[in-house]
Amino acid sequence: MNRARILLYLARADFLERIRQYSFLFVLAATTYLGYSFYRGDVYLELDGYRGLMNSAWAGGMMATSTSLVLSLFGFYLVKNSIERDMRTGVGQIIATTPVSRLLYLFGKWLSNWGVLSLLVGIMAVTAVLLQVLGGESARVDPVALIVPFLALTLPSMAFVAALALLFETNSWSRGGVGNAVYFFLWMAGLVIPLLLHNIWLDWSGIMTIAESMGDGVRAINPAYNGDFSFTTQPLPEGGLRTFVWSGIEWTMPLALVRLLWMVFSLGVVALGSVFFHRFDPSREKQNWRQERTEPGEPVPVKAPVHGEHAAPARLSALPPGALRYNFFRALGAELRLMLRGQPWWWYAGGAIMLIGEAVSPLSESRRGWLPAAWLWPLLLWSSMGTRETYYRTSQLLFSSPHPLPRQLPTAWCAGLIVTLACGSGTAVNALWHADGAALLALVAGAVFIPSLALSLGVWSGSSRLFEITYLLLWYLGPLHPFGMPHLDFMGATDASLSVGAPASFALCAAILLGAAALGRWRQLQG
Amino acid sequence: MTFKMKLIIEDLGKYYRPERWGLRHFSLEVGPGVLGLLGPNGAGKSTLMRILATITKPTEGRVLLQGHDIVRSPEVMRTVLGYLPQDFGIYPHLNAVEFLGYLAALRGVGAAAARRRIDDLLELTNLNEARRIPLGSFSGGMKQRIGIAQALLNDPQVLIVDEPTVGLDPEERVRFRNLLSELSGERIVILSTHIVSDVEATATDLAVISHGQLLTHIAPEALLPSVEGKVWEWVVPGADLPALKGKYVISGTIRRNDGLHVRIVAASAPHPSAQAVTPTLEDAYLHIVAANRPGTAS
Repeated sequence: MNRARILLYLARADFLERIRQYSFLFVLAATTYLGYSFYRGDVYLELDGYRGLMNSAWAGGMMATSTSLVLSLFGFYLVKNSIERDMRTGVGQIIATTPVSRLLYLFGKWLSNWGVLSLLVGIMAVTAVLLQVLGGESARVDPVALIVPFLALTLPSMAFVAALALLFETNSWSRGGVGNAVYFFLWMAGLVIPLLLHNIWLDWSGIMTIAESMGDGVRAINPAYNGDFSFTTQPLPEGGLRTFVWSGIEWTMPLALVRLLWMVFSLGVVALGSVFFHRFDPSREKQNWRQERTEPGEPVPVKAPVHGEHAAPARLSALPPGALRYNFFRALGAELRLMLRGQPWWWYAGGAIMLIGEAVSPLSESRRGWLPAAWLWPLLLWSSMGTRETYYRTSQLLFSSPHPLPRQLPTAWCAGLIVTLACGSGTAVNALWHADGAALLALVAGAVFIPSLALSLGVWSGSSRLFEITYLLLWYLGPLHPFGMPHLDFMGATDASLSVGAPASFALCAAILLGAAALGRWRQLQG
Repeated sequence: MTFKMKLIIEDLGKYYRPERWGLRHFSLEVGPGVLGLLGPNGAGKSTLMRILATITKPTEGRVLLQGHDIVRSPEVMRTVLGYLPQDFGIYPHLNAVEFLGYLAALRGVGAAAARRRIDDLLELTNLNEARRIPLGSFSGGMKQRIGIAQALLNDPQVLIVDEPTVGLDPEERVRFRNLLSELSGERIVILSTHIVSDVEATATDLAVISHGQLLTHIAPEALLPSVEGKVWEWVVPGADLPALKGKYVISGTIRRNDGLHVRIVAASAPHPSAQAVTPTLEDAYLHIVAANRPGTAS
């Protein structure tokens, strides 16, 4: 079998395995909904009070840009599981014994990653056509103007995201939650840096290329254009946006070369991944910082039994009467130990520094700076809530225990609450010291909300990833966002969040999420 | 006053999409002792075990424990159950004591009793030396022993073990069989396996299941007369084996200097030179499974 055929089969199997999962229907639905939001006008692209006339170039350009923006984040998390799946299912061990090289294997996986993302890009391209036709502003559909932004801008950026997802998977440190968090910050930096440096060669997403071209269009009719280029969900201003005619990017050789280079660079990233990829050899797996010091698979030093010793009659005495009595606090202690087990010393040291910072800083600084940092620190502890049973395949052991719903779920939630409160206790003490009851209540609401969100998303998705993405987005858009989104400030970091009643909303959300978690676990128990 | 445990399975069925019954019209009454559940791969053993352990809900039928329907009230079973699944995971960052302690807390075993019980169980499963080592570094056999230990944490009245001896070395296997026999007494022990010798050594009762249906429920010793005079040993050239496999039920082969000694289960001698031999439980099991498989001579 030649290499191209092997590559095709590798990519095809992975692609089919992915798109045949029920969860992929949810992804398709979410993508379609995003397109529908543009049609309804819930989301629109605005350039300093202007928008383009809905012709093929504008519909294609706008949808291609939004697709690049959204899929470069969510698409990464969506496809970052192809190697992990082969590890988990054991298929990797079989592949490892075939003559397929590491590079070929990774290229096959990259093709599959790219294929999945391209499928979603295709849906958005269809939406762009509908947007123009239903918009009724320009009757002539120009297929080239409509499709070129997807082909030249979005697909290369998806190729890069697909390669990055694979690279993150080849390293044990970046495969899990740490990698998810690191990518989030990389993604933000990757969008901002090309704009700040005004360097088109760094424009991996293609957003800067299109923003500059559209900006030139606005500048042609309004020289005072302030450079604003944003997707917004705010209600349209009175009288709507002013329109201008944009007929697409004027492709020059350097622009085309940039897109081509990012494609080539993606292949380079895949090749780099093959340097780190261990080919499913557990002994070459680098030590994960959450793992114990003993290597997996390393022989455990156990005294050799004397011949016949094992076959000695086995006896087990009965439990004393009354020994079976459930104790909530003992179960909570066990759950807390399970949650914190394997954390390195520096995790506690970092937490302690943040606690001191929270307690000794002025209250406003403690709320705006130290608390968001301290409530990012246990991200991976929270994200394992509700998913541990699935991930470690212990659900059969736990679910066959007495009262798994009223016993295990509340203890897991309480353990999460204790960790959250502990990490925010410096700010709580500070607020108490300053007699700021509102800030304290907001903090408590946040502390109740976080484990509820983690448990609910964990139970329903069976994976830690959904919580990690959701929480990081909320964390950035709420307490940290420079333009302020007080409704999303779940920890009450800003006074604005208190005045819009965000703590009460999040306390209510927590109750709903907790109910959803219980419902999800009940569903799991039904088999 | 002690009550005799009684588990009644009534017309149980489990439907898997698309169009497959994993279990159908399955009825059985189980009392104290060890019930060996035998059947080929895919027969429905694990489905039955998961339903009895309240992990899976049946599509139809009832399971009554002491008269209570455990499908509607799973807690009736869970409070007295010890369960070792065929495929289970562990928390790799916990050691044996912590893992068992965690499960003991969830099962409501008191602190002092749990400590003593865990010590006893680690001793019993020969894991005392490894009690402080993270489970992530355990071998398959050691992990299986942890599974056995957790199933016994709450001193269960109903013990359900699915392929418990997989991964155990021969001595550990013997030890575990002894333990099962010792434990049975007033308890219900259900042992699912495809290793006939495990059942032979421990079971007081035997249920053979195939294609999701109960073929027979009988005492192991009562099954042997059904194949009396139907087991033959025939020495053939090695090359004849594939043809024989298509024609007869073969329960064993041994290669010797004079040729291949083939053990055949058949109503009459397959050849005048074939010798009648004493049947084993394995012969009887294969006979009953083959007799219920369409298109096979027996």
